[in-house]
Amino acid sequence: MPRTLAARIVRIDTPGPGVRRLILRTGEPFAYRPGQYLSLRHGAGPGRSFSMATAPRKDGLIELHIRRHPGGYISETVLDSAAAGDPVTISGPYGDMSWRGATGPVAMLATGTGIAPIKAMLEQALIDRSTTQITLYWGARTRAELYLFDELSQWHWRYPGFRFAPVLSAPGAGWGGAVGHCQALAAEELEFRQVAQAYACGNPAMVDGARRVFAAYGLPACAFQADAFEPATNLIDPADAAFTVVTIAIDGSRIQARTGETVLSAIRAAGLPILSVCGGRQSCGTCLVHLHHEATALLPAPTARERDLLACLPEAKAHSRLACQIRVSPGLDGLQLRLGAVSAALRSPTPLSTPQLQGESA
Amino acid sequence: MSAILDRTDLEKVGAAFTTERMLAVRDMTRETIHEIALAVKPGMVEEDAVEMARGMLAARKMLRGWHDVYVRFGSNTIKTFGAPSEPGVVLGENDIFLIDIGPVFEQWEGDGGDTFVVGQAPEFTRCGDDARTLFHLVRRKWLADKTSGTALYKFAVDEAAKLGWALNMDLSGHRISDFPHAAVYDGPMADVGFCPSPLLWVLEIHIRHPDKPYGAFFEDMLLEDRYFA
Repeated sequence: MPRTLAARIVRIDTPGPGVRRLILRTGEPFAYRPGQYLSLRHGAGPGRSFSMATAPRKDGLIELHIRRHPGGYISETVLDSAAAGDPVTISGPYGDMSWRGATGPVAMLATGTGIAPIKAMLEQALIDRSTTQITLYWGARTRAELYLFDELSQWHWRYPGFRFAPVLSAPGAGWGGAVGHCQALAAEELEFRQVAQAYACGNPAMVDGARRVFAAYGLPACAFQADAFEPATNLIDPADAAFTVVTIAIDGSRIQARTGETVLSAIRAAGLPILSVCGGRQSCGTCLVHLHHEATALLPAPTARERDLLACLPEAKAHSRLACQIRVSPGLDGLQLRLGAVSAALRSPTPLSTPQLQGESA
Repeated sequence: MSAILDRTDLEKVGAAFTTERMLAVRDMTRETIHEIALAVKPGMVEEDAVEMARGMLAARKMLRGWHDVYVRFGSNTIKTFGAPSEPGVVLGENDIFLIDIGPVFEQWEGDGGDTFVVGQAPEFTRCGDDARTLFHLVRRKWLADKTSGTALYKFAVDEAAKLGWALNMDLSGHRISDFPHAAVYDGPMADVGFCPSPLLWVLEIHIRHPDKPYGAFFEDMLLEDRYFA
């Protein structure tokens, strides 16, 4: 289930041209399945989505591969000045694509940094000592862009069931491998190489092409998992470019909030503790906040659904609202509010105990 | 991950936790699921069924939930947890629907789900029955072998496949407690390397047909046989 955690940058390096590898450490364990992604935020800036590039590590560190985009908020603006120790916020995990064991030969296709979730799933397969045949098609324009070429080549020889098939669309002199696009190579090989499951991650054209190739081959739709990079883009979108920043006081602490986001996301981005168990669906009431009575007039009236839930919350008063439902607008500059009891308790949590279970048999 | 997911930490409870209250809210949850199911009729639009379910929960002072209220019709039964349904789906004369609720009553969490079939639809009936069968098969495996959460879901995947279904690992069990369990552990049970204790976890089984757009769901607390008479 997605959650939001504070994290710190442990290391940033450059494994290949235009690609940076970001290593993060979280204060609490961040559970995910290989193939999933997270949303990364720095300060009050917009979130950007990146896939975890390893299977869950015993040391809990998280590895992300980030392609540099001109003007990209995280990939350029933040990472150009970021350093080890800097705080960031992550939320997730998200995404349906994940390694779920193999029922037969597997094809994995990636372009660019789409290799990150593919590598995470591949690692999990190797950790699980999967005996299935896995072929990895990784496409790029030039050899230099295949920034994990050496590591994957070693795996090719070390693991009997694994085959690494790099494909270049614009190779230089001396390249002896396949030329073209990875989905085309996979299509050619399907004549003699059986596939029971396929995974694709990278640019949408490759993912769409791969989907068509495997559908024509007769692979059931549910055996094809994909993560086109459209939702994981690093580019600034028009909505982000248009925001303005207002100041909100939470229990006396002043935070910056962007217009258009919810008060819940602004509080989280500021690193203040607030629960939202249901994920902003007006179900749990844990993000309850109490407004100064004059501020209530600044907000649109609650919807019937929010009103119904507020009516069930013993702590809710006339000026209470759900932080997940308050959209930040320029008129809210200077808004003052207090966190509800559930979130406030996160600052001095009630001690938890180990239960005495009756009739325990397991 | 199992090495860092310690049982002592992950099975803690808050001050309001009692066995009696947890079981009482479990009973209320299951009764409400069946009450909602009885009120769902062919020709109903899914969104209306959700609103109706919310009204029934409100009447029982259980509108507050640790997750949203899900009533899913027909092809929406393959949607994973949290995914929005395709809008405007109408329940057919011979159709399948599932219910998944996670109500909070006072300070205690309930969570449960089940699948129902209207009219004559043998394929759908088998799917719903198999979700329940798998739930108890996995539960008995837990009871007999003191199986870890991770191993339980590997077993569930295999058993689902034997019956011809794909298991949705997005719904792979979780903690339940005095509200909110998320303050203790909000990850999946499938990630824990120890045997989950009774009363503290729910087991979720969400299966779907490998090709066709329908599925079934069953969810209840992980408990011994005597609680399922």
